[in-house]
Amino acid sequence: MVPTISQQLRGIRSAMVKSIVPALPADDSFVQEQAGLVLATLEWVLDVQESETLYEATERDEYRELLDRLSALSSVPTTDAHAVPAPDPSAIPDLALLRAEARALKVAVDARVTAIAADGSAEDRAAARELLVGVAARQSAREQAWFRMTGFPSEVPGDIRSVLTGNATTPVRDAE
Amino acid sequence: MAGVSFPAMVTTEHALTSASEGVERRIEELRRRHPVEPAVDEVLSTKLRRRGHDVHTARSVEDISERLHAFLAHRLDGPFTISGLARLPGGASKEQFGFDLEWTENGEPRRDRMVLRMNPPASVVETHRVREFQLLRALEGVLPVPRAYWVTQDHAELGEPAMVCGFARGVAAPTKGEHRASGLGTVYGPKLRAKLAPQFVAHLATLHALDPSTVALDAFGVPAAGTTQGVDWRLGMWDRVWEEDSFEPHPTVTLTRQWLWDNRPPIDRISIVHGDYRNGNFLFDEDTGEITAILDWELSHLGDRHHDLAYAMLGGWGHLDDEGRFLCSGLVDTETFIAEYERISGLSVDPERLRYYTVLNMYWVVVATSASGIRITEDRMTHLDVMMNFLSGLGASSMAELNRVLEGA
Repeated sequence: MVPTISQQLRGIRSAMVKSIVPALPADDSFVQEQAGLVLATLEWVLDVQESETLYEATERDEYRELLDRLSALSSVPTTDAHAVPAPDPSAIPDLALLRAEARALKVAVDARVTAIAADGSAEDRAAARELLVGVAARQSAREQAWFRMTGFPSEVPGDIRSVLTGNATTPVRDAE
Repeated sequence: MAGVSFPAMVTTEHALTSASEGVERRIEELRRRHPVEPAVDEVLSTKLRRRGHDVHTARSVEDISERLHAFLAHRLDGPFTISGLARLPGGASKEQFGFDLEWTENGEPRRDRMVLRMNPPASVVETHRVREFQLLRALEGVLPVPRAYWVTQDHAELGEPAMVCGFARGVAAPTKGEHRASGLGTVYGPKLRAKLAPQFVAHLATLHALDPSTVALDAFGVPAAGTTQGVDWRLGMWDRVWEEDSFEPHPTVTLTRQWLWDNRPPIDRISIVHGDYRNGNFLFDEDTGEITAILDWELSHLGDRHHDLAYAMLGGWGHLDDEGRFLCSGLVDTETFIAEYERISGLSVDPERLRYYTVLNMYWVVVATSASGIRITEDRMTHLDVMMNFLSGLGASSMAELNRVLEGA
């Protein structure tokens, strides 16, 4: 399928740089500032957009595993709020579906962690925290790579694709 | 036709009423779980009531000028003229317009450059203009702050709550240096640093040493000293905002909130806290190195001085000098900062509380940039659509830093 999203974005960027930005009023600093941000955002989107599906699939799988492990901590009974049905294996892979699944799993994980923190045994509370710390570290590594083009992250392990495929130059580690 | 449209209208009104009742129930539930100061509750509740109804539209200069004229006519006795009205760049929260005002004050004809600082329908931080106004008035003559002239919290006057203050001369960053959003990570260079750093520390010390009970700040809640009440209000506020604005849970936020509630330190002495005290939020004269105005008081509150100290020391604002020392807000090394602050203010600095407020500050940065900024863009309620999404990179960076700080905690 052509033009790809990336090809279209590169076309938009080129038109912005060549024709639109030079035509903006030089003395309108607010408009100039917004145009600069639009261009910077285009660079950011070009850096990551082809990895969005892989990103959501990675999060979905990681949170599914986390929810299963939290459910195994038995001092607090699981409820419907702590469960997300397994995806239909016949469903056509779709970015919106992946995102919805990942989000539902995050909500269930949060409810499960909250329940364990409130009513769980000391051992289960510690175990739940350790599991959450591990996921937080891995999620953070993904986010550092995803947001690298904004210039804010200070320790970027690599581009987002290399992080998601485990080929980052700096290995993503669990919290110790 | 009337027979068809009437029931449809009833249905619509019923749906609107139900939606409105749903919002009010949600606000009551949020109030119950997250106690905050009354003025904070007012702006957060207003945000929820407007969500889904109001969007930001680019207003013409003519429209702003017309409303501003009516606004000033209610406040000025004599004739006046407005000229040179134009939108100002910079900032990440409020809409700002500069204008010249020819008017008469105490019988004296004047021509002043002014700034109209106005809420968009929603901001990365929801704040109360009257609080900001009261604080600027209280600090006039104490610290270099813009002179505050007039304020309204009434949407009817200018379309949104707004404040008019004097235009402060100066620059936020060296004009020949690298330009970055809102002065984040501003690099001043050794000559400017030598002039700016002592003022930066002294102004903060002066602010915190001031007794809040001696100034008129009735829009502020006064927490009880020796308790955690002031911390509870701040945590309540950011917890509530996260709940209102976030799109999905985040493990770092869950861990951070738990740690913050488990480790709340009592506030030994109540101070006026700026809330956003860092490089980029003050102006200076590039030739003399004098700080001409401390800006962005919208997050100010009464609380713990360590809130400002820890914020000014955050890694994201500073950098290393030639000798490898970290410069807080790009200005002063940590040891000198603390020593000079203690000497000038007569107030102690507690490393444990600094650590606590480092976490609390990063938490609010995360809430604002990873939740609120994206939410208000999605809802089309901001004038800074692209910037708000872009700033989520700061949230991601702060999440990573929180993971490091809380590791093993």
